[in-house]
Amino acid sequence: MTSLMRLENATLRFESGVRALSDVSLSVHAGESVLLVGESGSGKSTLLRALVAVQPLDQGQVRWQFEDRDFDPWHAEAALVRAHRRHMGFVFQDSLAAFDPRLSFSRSLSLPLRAQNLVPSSEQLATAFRETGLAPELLARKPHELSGGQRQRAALARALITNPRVLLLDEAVSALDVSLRAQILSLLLELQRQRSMAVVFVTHDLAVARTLAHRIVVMLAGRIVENAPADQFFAGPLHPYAQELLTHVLPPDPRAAKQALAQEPREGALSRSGCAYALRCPSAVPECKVRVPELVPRGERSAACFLV
Amino acid sequence: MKRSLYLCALLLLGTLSIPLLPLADPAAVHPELALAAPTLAPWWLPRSEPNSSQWNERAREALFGPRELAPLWGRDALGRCVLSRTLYGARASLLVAVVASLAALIIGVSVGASAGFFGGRLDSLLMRSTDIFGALPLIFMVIFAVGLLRTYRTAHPETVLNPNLALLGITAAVSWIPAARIVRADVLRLRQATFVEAARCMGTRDSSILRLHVIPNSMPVALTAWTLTVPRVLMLESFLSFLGLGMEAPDVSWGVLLRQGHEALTAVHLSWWLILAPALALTVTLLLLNHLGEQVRIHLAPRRGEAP
Amino acid sequence: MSELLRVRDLHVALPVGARTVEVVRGVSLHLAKATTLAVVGESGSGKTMTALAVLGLVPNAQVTGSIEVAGVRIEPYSQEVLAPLRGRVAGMVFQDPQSALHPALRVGEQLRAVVRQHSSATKAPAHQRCLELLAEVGIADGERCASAYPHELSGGLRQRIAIAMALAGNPEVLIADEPTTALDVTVQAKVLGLLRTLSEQRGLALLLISHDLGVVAAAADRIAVMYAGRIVEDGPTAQVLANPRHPYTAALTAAIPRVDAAPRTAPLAIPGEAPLAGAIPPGCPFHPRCASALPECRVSEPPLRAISAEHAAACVLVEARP
Repeated sequence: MTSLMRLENATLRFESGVRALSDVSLSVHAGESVLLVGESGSGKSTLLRALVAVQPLDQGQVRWQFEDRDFDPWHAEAALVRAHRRHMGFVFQDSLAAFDPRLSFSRSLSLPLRAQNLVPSSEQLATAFRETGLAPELLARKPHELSGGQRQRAALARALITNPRVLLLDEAVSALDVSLRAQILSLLLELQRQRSMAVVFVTHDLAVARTLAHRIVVMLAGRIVENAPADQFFAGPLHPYAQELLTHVLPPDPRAAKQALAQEPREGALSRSGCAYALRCPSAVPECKVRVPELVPRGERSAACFLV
Repeated sequence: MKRSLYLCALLLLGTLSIPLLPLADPAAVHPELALAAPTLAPWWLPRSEPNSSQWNERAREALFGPRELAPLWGRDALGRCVLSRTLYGARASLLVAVVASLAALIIGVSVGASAGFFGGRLDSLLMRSTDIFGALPLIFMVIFAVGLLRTYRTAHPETVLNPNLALLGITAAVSWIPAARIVRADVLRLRQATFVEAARCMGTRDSSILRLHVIPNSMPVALTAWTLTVPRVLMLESFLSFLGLGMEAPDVSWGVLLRQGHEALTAVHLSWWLILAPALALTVTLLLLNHLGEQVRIHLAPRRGEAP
Repeated sequence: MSELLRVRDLHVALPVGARTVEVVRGVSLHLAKATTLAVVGESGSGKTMTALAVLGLVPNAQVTGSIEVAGVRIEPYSQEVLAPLRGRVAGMVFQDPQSALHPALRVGEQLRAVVRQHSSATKAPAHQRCLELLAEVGIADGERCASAYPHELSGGLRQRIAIAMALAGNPEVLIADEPTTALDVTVQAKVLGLLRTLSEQRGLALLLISHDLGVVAAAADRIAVMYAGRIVEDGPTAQVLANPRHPYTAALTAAIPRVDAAPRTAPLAIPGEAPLAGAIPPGCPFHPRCASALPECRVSEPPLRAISAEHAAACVLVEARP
């Protein structure tokens, strides 16, 4: 499978000392839906920004391969990088903050095209809105004049306007009401099918992940701890942390939810040395606190655990 | 907000239309009427030289007839009409205030936006320059520059170099600092904004981001800074002219009038109207401008726009 | 039946610009000792306003209706009557633990301040009480926690502290507005478990506001579903979720993404969007989005109709079934 974007051994430490990414490698393949799952501070949003070369890394590489060339955007000519940005679209969590408050949607939507030295036609803009379920008349409005659900659709329209091959979304439905969430998710599925795009979606919600994923990637404390095809993952995760995440999902069914809640939550902070989960893991062995486990391949999946 | 705007527009209009008002010639000297106290009657005096060639005087003739307002606010040491001189002085004072503050704003916004947006060494360089400028002793600089230019002009009377330009320049040079700092702070905030991140993701050039997104969005703050700079510059000019370091006779400004009034004050002749007139005019204008500044700040603050 | 909270026909109206908009349009609920009632709804449903109005925390609002907290009738609805109740009779926990705590004061100081407000304790006994409260909310090292600043602690810890502060006055009712929404999933379980334990041990009546049906299914004995400022269905959790009788409740449960759903299939979306207060369509507010709408739904707004002794729904279709 062609890998469109890759991170190789990416490591990043913030000024505050926090290890945002530690030796992270991930490939995004054409047409594939990768769901990056993790809790706050796991590094998933940072990974996303590293992929689009907006967040520089301390160590490791980003590589893009959309046309014939396979290159590192941080070490290429600005014009080449800029041209390649048309292959990616980004949707943020906060749709109000994602738009310049002074610009109308028609202006905001034409910006990605202008960045590519293209002149947008009003028909193009109208089509973009219609495809995401918005009336073209709304193009004249400003961001604060639309509801949250409509705005996120507009954000999607903006991300898709250059016909990208990869759509990257950072918690794009987390701020929306439940009934709107379903609308956006179904829209995403349809658009992905129509356009055969790759999708990289960051979320903390495993149920949302189930809806969209071909593949699940679980992150903890800046590392990937499990990478598996969705069906295999939901049938039974390999990594103890991923298992814990799955048990804590509360379904809207009282019996199952109470059962999930009754599970004794695991106590313990994250470990600074060795495996981050070492202090909470019920199956931890002494080595877990000393050495960091590498991702061990098991068929189509891999997990970073000594016991796999 | 609206009320302040109307009042300021009125002020501006009033200032521009002064040549059309039926005022006595501010330079007309009547030594025999020196230090005449303010009178309430008569209101009108016949004009000394009717049918003049200048267009404003002909318009004045047409509007008000061959008469002028009596010196309702008294006369100064040379018998000149204080009312007339105060109003004519407004033009010079306000002109210096507006021009110098605009120059200060342009410098301030450029410095602040560049420092805030590009950061790093440029930021350090610009901010250290700001500190240096802030540390310069204003009075000494003014004495030096104005004194130098006056001497030069005495030696070369045909020169275009006007000490008033030095006044303008130095006033602008010290007044840009608060604007720069305010704009820099706002730009630092905008740099982190999600929509700026979005612009980067789509490949917008830095210069375009600055031009399209950052500077327009920092305009409310810059505008507020400007409305607060104008009264400061006005006060500065009046202060310097009062000390004899700014404008000097035969130019008429409120500071100059204050100085002349102060000089004419002796234990015997308490010609209070000579000081009261320019002081009152200055105070009222400063209050008005400060009020406008407040209103601008309050009015533009919630402009970010929230969904209801 | 010891009802610690009784609200009848609550109306809350807010000034919006020149108009007055009703955000809560006739809500009635009751809450017994040691039980949890969840008020479920999406943004604009009025659920948070209902909770805030009970404690008089909505400035500029016109509130009518009868509110009885622990037997005390809130009459007249004024700050003089409401203020003594806050913290002592009813406590509140909010969504964002970060903004609920003062960032520049140590946790211990803040907690002590609340304790001393509700009792005449001096400094030392107050500190002791703080440690007891911290232990009660499951914080192991109370001393260390008390000497820390809020930003030094995790979200879960902060929320526990917020709960401790809400309990400091020994209230009988606890109102929790989306208490776990800002927390990670693993922490959510702990906080919900804590709330459950507290409800049982202290006999607290817990009013839980949430949009998350999973949280509600796990933690609540009864549910009241709100839409456009009114309760459209209420009853025991198991009954309402297993057998929803109002089309909105049914659509909402179907619209939730589930881990056990078919892969790469979106849940059934509800078309359209919830109406904003002040722009509510005539008749049943849900009818524009309802798959089972009848012509009469456009005309009149159905009241809550009993399905069983404990379960009611505000839909014309309820009458249709015997």
